[in-house]
Amino acid sequence: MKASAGSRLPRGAVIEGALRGSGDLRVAGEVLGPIEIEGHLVIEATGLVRGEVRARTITIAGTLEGDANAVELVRLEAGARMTGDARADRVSAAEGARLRGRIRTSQERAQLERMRRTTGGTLLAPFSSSGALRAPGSASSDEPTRGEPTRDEPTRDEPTRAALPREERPTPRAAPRRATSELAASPARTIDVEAAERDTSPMSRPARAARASTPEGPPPPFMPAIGKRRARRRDAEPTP
Amino acid sequence: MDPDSTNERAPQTSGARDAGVLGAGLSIEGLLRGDADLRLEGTLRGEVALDGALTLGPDAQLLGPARARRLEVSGEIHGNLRAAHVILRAGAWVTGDVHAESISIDDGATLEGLVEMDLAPGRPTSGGSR
Repeated sequence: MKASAGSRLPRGAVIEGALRGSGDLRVAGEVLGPIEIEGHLVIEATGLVRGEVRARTITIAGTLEGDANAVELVRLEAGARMTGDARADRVSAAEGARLRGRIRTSQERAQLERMRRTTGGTLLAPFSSSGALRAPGSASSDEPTRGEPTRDEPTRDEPTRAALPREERPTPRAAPRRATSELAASPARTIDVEAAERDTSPMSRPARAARASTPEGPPPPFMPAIGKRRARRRDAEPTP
Repeated sequence: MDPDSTNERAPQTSGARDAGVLGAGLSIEGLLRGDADLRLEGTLRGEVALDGALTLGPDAQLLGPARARRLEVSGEIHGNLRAAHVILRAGAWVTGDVHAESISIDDGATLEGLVEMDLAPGRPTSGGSR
């Protein structure tokens, strides 16, 4: 990604319409419409955005009325006001931020790790292959499994992302349905679906992150809605 | 007015106005309005109605009419312009009518359209014929 010049919409300026492109953007004025940029988006304290925003990271110190979809991070500063859902790998809010909406972070992987630690890995296989960590109703925009072999032997001892066998990654609901008949749903599955509904992103970002970090793995499946975004993300290594 | 020299941040055109830039990678569809000074480097498809100054960089593209207090153009505009001061820099390409109180067209600027100038009362009328 080229280092494009940052943009700044000053206080007093209003854009009624859509805004998209590359580079960073700071909004101190008003944007009444959606924003979709590849870089970092900052809504300054005087800024107001009424519309869905998509960016690599989204920092809100002003007002956002709409959903925030970040590849990496949504951050609500003190004084931020947000009405809408926040979706990102990480979502953080400072004290004093006001939010009305759902927060969806991609904590599937963290849950898996936690599960592995507590159960010693015994529950892992039925768990993951039954799609327990998927949020219900989230499979619509997900990747088609190109007939992936779901019976790889998982190496359960290695906690690193790259070492995770594919079947431990959350798979779309279509695939698990096949597996559900073979592997009866464990009681833990229903519990976990609730947790997943609260916490996980439908985009299953950890799965994508895991794929991105295994260069020798199979080519990533085609995801119509977010394929472009992921391609970008891979060559631009995320910075914390 | 301010005491002396505390307004280093403010642009010349106005006291407390905030300056901004819409960068080269950005593409906007819709209306840009408000009270601010802006520099456009990217593409805007729609309309501009600013109380401040609008500057179009050499790679900027504006498809639609623009109204501002001051318009300085190095890029491309396809639409009618209305401003108190219109400045077309070298490399500017404007197709559309220009309505202004004063206009300056640098060598190397291209303008295809009608220029109409306010012949304000009390001002020398010869200014309009240039």
